[in-house]
Amino acid sequence: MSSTERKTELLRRILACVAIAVTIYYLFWRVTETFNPNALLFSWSLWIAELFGFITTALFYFTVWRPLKRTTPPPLEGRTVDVFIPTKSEPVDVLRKTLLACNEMIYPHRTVVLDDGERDEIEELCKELGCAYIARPMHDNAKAGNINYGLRRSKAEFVAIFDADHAPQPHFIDRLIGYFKDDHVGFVQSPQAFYNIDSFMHRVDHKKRYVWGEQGLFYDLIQPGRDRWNAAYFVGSCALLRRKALDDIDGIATGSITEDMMTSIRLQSEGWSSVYHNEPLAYGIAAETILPFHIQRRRWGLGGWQVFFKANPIFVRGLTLSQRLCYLASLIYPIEGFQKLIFYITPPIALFTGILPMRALDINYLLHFVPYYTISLFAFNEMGRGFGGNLMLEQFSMGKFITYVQSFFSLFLPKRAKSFKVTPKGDRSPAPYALLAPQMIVFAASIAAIIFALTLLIFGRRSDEFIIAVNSLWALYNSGLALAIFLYAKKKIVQRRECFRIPDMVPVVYYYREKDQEIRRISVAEDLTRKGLSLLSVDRVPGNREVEMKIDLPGETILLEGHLVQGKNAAVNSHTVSRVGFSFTGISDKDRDTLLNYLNDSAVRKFLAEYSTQYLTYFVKRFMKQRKRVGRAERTGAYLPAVISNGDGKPSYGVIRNISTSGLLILSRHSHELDSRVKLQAVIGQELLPLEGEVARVKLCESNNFSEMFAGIRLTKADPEDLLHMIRVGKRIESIR
Amino acid sequence: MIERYTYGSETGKTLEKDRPGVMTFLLLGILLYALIISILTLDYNSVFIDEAFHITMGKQLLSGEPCDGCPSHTGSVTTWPIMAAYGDSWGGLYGARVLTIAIGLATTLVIYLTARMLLGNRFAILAAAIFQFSGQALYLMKLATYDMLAAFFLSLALLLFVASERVRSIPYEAVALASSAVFMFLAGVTKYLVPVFVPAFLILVLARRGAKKTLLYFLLPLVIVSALYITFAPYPPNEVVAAQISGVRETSHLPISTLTEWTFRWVALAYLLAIFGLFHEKWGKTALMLILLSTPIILLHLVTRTERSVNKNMIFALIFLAPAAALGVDHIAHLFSMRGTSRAAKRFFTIAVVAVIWAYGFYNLQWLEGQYPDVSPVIEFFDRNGFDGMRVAMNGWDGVIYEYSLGSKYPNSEFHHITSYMRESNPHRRIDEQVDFVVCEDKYYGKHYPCTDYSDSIDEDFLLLEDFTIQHSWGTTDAQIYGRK
Repeated sequence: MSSTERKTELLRRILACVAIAVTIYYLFWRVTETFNPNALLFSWSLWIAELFGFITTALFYFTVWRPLKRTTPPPLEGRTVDVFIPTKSEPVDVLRKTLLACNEMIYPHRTVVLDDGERDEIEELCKELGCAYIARPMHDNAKAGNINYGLRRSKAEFVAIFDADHAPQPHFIDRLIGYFKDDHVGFVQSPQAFYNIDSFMHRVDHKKRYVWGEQGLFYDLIQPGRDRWNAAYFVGSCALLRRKALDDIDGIATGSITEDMMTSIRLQSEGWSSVYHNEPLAYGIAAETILPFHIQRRRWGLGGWQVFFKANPIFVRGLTLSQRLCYLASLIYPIEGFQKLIFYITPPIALFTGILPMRALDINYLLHFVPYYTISLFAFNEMGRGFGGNLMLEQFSMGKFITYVQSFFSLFLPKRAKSFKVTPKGDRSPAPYALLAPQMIVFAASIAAIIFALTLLIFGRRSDEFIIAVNSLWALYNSGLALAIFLYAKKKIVQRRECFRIPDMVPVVYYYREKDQEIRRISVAEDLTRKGLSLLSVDRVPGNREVEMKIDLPGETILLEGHLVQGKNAAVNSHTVSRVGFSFTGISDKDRDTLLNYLNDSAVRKFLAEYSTQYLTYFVKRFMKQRKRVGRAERTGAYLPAVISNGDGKPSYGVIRNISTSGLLILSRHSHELDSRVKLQAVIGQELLPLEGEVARVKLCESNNFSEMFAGIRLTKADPEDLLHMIRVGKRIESIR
Repeated sequence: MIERYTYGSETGKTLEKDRPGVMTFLLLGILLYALIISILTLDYNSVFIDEAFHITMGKQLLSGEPCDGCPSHTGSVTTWPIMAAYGDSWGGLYGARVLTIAIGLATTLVIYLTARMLLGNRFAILAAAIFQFSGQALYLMKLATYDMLAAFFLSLALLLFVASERVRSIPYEAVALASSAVFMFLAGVTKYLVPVFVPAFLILVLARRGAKKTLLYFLLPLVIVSALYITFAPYPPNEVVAAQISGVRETSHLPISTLTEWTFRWVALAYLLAIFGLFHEKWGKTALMLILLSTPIILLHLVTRTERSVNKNMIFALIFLAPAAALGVDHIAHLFSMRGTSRAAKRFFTIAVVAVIWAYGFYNLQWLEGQYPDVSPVIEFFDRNGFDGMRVAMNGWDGVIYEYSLGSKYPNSEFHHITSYMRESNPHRRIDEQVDFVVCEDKYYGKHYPCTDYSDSIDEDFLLLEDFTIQHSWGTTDAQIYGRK
């Protein structure tokens, strides 16, 4: 850790302490000075909601006090590993992708599908892909029971567990198994990463290349924070577990629908330690609409309550105080539903009735509230280390508050109603608007209350103008949260794609016949799925006909047929640039599997590497060393295909990612050395524009089977007219993307 | 030209463009709203004591008569009273009030221009709306006193300072800064309270333009015009004015908590929004500067614990707070729309917050309009039952209201404070026999001299003629008119 980082961390902790002290004072002042004697229930409700906020924040600060950064140990050799894929109702397509990825894992292992759905097509799939298939006759204890059944049929020393939609990277086991050199390590957990960043759970700023995930705070900060206290917990997927440890606690814990947390508590209470390896090693599908999100959160909420009442870590023997506090932080979060409910109904009540949960909402109140709230927000933001995103967290609190309230009341339902419900994954999960009713009620009640109170105010029927103004602002904030959730959920329902299109840059050659002539063009696929792609071509692509395509992957070529679905054209100079969407109509199983492997092993990692999940907090900005800006020519995104040759082999296709008058960035399949010479020909329609340059910088793309690299080229020989032409075309392409 | 074509159900969308001139229409709308509301409610109350004073002084100055009130009033005698007197000669009280409406509209325009230069058109519209919807602006636009004129000069001083930062040539910069100093001076001599802004302004100019420019182009012109004023003005600031100011301080002293609440009542919402402006991603520092500039007048009231005219004086703070609050509104709308890209959501929340500001200001406007007693019934009584040469004793200092209102009908009548007509006569103090009427307004101007102190004399020599109940925003008071038996 550098001295700047140490200073930043120290300041953060001091700030957290100040925030806690200020909050304690504020809460004390609230309870002693501000309660409305005429509305004590209302006063207490709001105060308890604020107190709950303080408790969760304090526990959060404790958990993330000093997040642990680990160094990957070398892998242990010669160990036996079984990879378990528990499944029940996930589509074959989803499972196929996962199994293909499992088969690509480098470390010797056996892949075992634990099918609780007893489906023939899954058995067939396993046979086809050479995986073991286990289906149990009884289906008790849901996922936990399924895994335990698998454990009884496994003799491996280690077990890796993945949800059916989580495709591991080839080096998954290699990265994690080294931690088991320490005989006390019971399990190693890695983050559950998601690649579909257009999901309901993500918010993306493409311009800033920033993606916020609802799970980001947990996996990027809370788990490393818990790891420091030996309290990282198993999340049911993307983990490697020691068989002996599981045997010690009679397998995966049952009795709760969040079997993972209960298993972690049992393992740690038996003296096993846990490790959190903070590197995405498997990518899955995040909840695409509000429905799977709702089902998942309801399950977590109910599971949390079950653990709270059945295996409360406060009372379980064998845990350290730190572990107890970390678990307590995780277990009480469903109470947030009630807390938020109070926050959402307080302003409408105050606006409709004029009754306040405090004696007066005046300047004195604001003089206490504003500093407390500002310091709290500031401290949370800093302690969140750039993963927090308070506004986003608030949005999702709005999205799930009723889910958590329901989960509490579900405790009192019959056992059948509380059974494990699988989060719908894949393509066709329905999303009823009824799920958004609570948010719309909050929105409507807030707006109605504002209109009501303002009307009374302007007609002189109310004289509490400041109270009305402040509560109106609060109600507007709540309605903003509700509206954001509603609009985003609606967008996801209406615009839901069959599957997420993974942004990429792949040269694609396509052919079609026109007037008895075969036309052949090179273009670039800007995104890919297993079902289609989007092409950027410097040519008019004809519609309403089948087009043959050759996708030029690094080291592999895929032949297929596609049908143009939609597109747009724009003219530049003498060319037409097109952006067209194709759906695949003819692709062999082998080629589809190759494509799936490429997507998982290369494309997903390549595109996610371009996005940051962390924003810069104030302290980081303040202490960050200002990088000297190197004056360089303005770059234009290009997405132009190119034929690249570095003189050591035959030319290959590549993609010009961006271009300026002095250089360009290419994605190349060659291995380029720094300062080596490169010759390339940019392909614009039927023109080939020759360029020469030197490699100024290189960046390898992480992939095990599909080797590529980005190379920054300093141009040494290029026709200025050609360059300007390329820049114009590139700008046009950018404009239609 | 991008050509879209679709195979399937998705249809292309045309890009929505902003219509030109929307902002201009919005600005005109705000000004028109202010104009209509002001004109329609110009008769909201009878003449206010300061209005009567100013118009009367102006009339005296214009006609060359001795101006008894001038030495004891501020430098405003050279600016506002003369303007007010002209307005009065054109359309009576409403003529004078129409003048302040025009000045108020001009002030709004100046605030708009300042915010536009500082922050851009969108914020400028919001700043103009916040200022105009605040309640105080509309109220002072209908009050024919020097407050709005002083606000106008102060806003011009700010505008010219901001403009001095935008011009590229030194001579223009010097002219702008010097003009800013001159308008600051004019604001100061219009209302002697405004110089409280000078130190903050000086620090700002110093910080932004450097010592040399501040000294040469701002401080020097300010010192010169101030010196000229003190030397040559017919009614320069003197001991009487100083004593009057300290007298105000003594008679309207309030506990700090009460005064804090009372002071912030008039700027609370704008202040709160301005604080949100501090967190604006782009203009946070500008918001801070504007908040700091608005602070002196607030601090002055809090430090001296003087309540008098705080509701009117907050207009000066609003000049600076309005652009800062505009940033706050933008930031709030940005937050409430969850930092999303939806322009519709952001507009919705911007409009919603502005609606809250408007309702808050409208309520305050109604309150302000009714804070002083509407003495029209008393005026009407004398109009019906009075006679030229009558002497009216009042337990307040508001005789000037009646002199102004009834002066044309009863030019030889006197409306003086009751203490002016007292004579000692054992065993009781008695009201002079020449007094024809006594007006008692116990809860207002005469609060230091309640009529109960003279009840013996009133009971013995006078007869209750009328007993009015006067409605105020804060409750009701009584006004009794007694006639000699």
